[in-house]
Amino acid sequence: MSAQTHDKLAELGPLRLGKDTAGRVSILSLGAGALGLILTVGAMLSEELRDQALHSYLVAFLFVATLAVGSLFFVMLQHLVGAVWSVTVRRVAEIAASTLPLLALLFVPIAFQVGHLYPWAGHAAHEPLVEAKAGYLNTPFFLVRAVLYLLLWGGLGWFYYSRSVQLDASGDPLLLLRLRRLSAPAILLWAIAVTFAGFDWIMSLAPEWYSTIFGVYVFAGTMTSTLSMLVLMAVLLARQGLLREAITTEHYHDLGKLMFGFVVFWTYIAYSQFMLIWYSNIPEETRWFADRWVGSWASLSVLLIFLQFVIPFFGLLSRNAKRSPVILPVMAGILLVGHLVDLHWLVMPQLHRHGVSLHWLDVTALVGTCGLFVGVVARRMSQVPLLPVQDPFLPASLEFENA
Amino acid sequence: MSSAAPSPTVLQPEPLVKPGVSLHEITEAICAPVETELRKTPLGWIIGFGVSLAFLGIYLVTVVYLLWKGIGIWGNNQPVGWAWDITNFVWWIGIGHAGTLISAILFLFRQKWRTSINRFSEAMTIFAVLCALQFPLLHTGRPWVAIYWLLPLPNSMSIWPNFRSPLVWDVFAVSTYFTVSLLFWYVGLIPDLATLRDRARTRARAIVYGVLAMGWRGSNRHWQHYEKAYLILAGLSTPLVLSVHSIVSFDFSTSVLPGWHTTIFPPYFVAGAVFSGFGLVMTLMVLARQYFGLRHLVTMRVLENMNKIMLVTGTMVGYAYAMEAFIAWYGGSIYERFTFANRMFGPYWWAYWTMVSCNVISPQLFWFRRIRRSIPAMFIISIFVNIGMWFERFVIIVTSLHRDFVPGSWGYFRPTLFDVSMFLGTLGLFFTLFMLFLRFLPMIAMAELKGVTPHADPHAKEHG
Repeated sequence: MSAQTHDKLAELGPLRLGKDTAGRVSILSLGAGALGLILTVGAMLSEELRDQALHSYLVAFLFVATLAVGSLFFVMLQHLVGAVWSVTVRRVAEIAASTLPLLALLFVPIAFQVGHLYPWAGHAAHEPLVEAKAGYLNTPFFLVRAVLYLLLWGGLGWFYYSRSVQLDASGDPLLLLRLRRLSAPAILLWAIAVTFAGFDWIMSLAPEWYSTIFGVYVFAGTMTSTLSMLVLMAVLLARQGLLREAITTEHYHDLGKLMFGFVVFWTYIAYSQFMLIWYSNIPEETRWFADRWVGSWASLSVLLIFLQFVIPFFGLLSRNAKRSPVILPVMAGILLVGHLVDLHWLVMPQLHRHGVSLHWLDVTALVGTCGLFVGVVARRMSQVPLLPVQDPFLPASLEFENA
Repeated sequence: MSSAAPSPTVLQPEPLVKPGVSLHEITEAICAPVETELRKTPLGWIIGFGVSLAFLGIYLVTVVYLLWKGIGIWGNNQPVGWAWDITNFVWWIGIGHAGTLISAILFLFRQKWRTSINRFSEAMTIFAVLCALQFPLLHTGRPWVAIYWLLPLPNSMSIWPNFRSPLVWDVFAVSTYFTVSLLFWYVGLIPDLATLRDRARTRARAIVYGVLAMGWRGSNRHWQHYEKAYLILAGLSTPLVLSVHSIVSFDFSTSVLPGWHTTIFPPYFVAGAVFSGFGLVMTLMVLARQYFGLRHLVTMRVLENMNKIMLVTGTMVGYAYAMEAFIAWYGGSIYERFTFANRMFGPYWWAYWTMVSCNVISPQLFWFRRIRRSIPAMFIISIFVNIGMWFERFVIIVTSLHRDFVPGSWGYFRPTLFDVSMFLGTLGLFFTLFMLFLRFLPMIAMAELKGVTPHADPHAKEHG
């Protein structure tokens, strides 16, 4: 480390979350998370609550899964394109991605209840259209695929996190080069896994329905929510007096541009899917949207458009908004809620056919998965520096300004 | 962005322009082909222009005959009502997308390597869109009547466009695209036109370039307005990169035809368009930089980056083929399954596998750095890409149509001489315009390129 870099890092103040804060946050979240998980998984054992618990749990699981999986993509993408501006943001994303091995644990309740959650493994298994695709939609193959996705994400998440922490000690540029080289094939595999996980875990809830763009739709929502989460994490850390000089208005501005871009992308993909199905009006396809237009689902469909498109689009359009310490986090919050609503809208109409029906299990499931996620992330934030301190591009990233 | 001081050489990108090239040398190298006196026009250019003109002649003859006889001179039949005409339309429109992607999206992503190729590919965009327009217009048989159902023109014939038809959306999408691309290209040209005006040795040149430069003086205020206009046009063009080919894809995907109706079409068409656009930019750029001696300005790093984009978009196209095929099976519809089996193993199997080999397999070679940096390899692969993307549209259009729901009405499409001459003719139109561009306008954005040289970096000295 050159003397110059050393001085700059010294000026940044503490680089780890305080042990006290981290301890408090992680004990609270892990405690709440454990309670939430116990209640939700417990409810799965009751005949009466089982279906509700399973669907609520699936939404909560997908929420955390997309955030962690999206963080992994963010990290790999920065390596792939050799981005300099984002070096100060990267560690936060790496920490979020480092939770991926735990995702396998969270998948266990689903793995044991495939037959109750997915109609193709349960009551609809013998319908002709479903039987026609039994070669793909059958429980053993479903589980094998899930293991593959989770192994891939868990492995990559841990690899990118742990190697980056190694770089803190050695500063070996060859290590960075290796991460860069791996990123291209890794993103390819990642994309295939996200697509098929989207088919398996969400699309197959309505086993007769199909849409070739569905994997891209899942990807788009993953990215709007992940970028929003990164913004909010940075804001929360700044409140603790961390990274204030490292993640500056300039970095928020760039994150805001990406958020805006993915808001438009999500809208483009969602619109393409809807418009083409609506226009062609083929019953096998339109039924899925018709299900989401029954009773109060129609209101939720409209709300989704506002949360995922109208509000963030106009909210983030101007340069000032993207650089504002108020508007950007508010939009990030709206997009995170929007993503949750999106997942609810994707999953729940399969259970509540006549309208939106919220349940206390929706809350316990969400507290369960998010509590675990936040608890682990907070602990890691006190264990490793919040910046890749030896990254050769860190000084340039600290100085970064939008032209 | 200032370069990081202590970063080790393995991670440092190569310079964009060959080191040591002065600003004056950049001007000289780029102006040279434009400023050569007419009498000293190089023989190579004359031959190229002559061949292009000959093909343009073929085009004109075909069009006159087509208007005289009608579109029955093409091989289109029942059930294949769309064939080479629409294939060529989509192919040409797609090629235009590299220009907009480079000028708009890569600009917003601060990809400075784009500066040495953006002018070139923007010009290609405009000429390609012109070629594309010929096909749907002439496919109507009588374009002077078609105007009433394409544009909302009040008339006494009770004809009005059907706004629910994607074909009408196309009219608006493509014409918007053409207009914005032209403006973008022209705004970027202004400072360079002023350079040509200032260097002009004859009165005529000074007047022509002077008028075109619209009074550019290079003052601080001019530059400020210019930069703002450029950013706004980049912002406006970015959605256009996506919208045009998405709407072209709607021409197919709003139908109920197996093989046409599938939800991934919009992003898949956009990826394919960018892919094919880079293919043709690469083919022509490799030739132009060699012929005009611009190797120090369009460096290997630029070419390598273009190859990486082709790898990415080619793989995206492969992803879309895979999704289509998988969902055709997964969807369980017998018609959908038949259409895809027919595509792969039916009478047009050769077209399908040509498409897959050219578009999905050949760009995978770009995983290897040595191939990404080999001029002959990238030239050959780029030609494969051009061929493959033509076949993609052919496969989508013809294989989906030729065997429809009723086996009794199945047919087979064979192109006639006029299908071929029409296609070759538009190649003539494209290359005629392109050769004129190379001869009379600066093919690289001089002012912008100077901005990415080390001399232009205000921090150049800080880091030594």
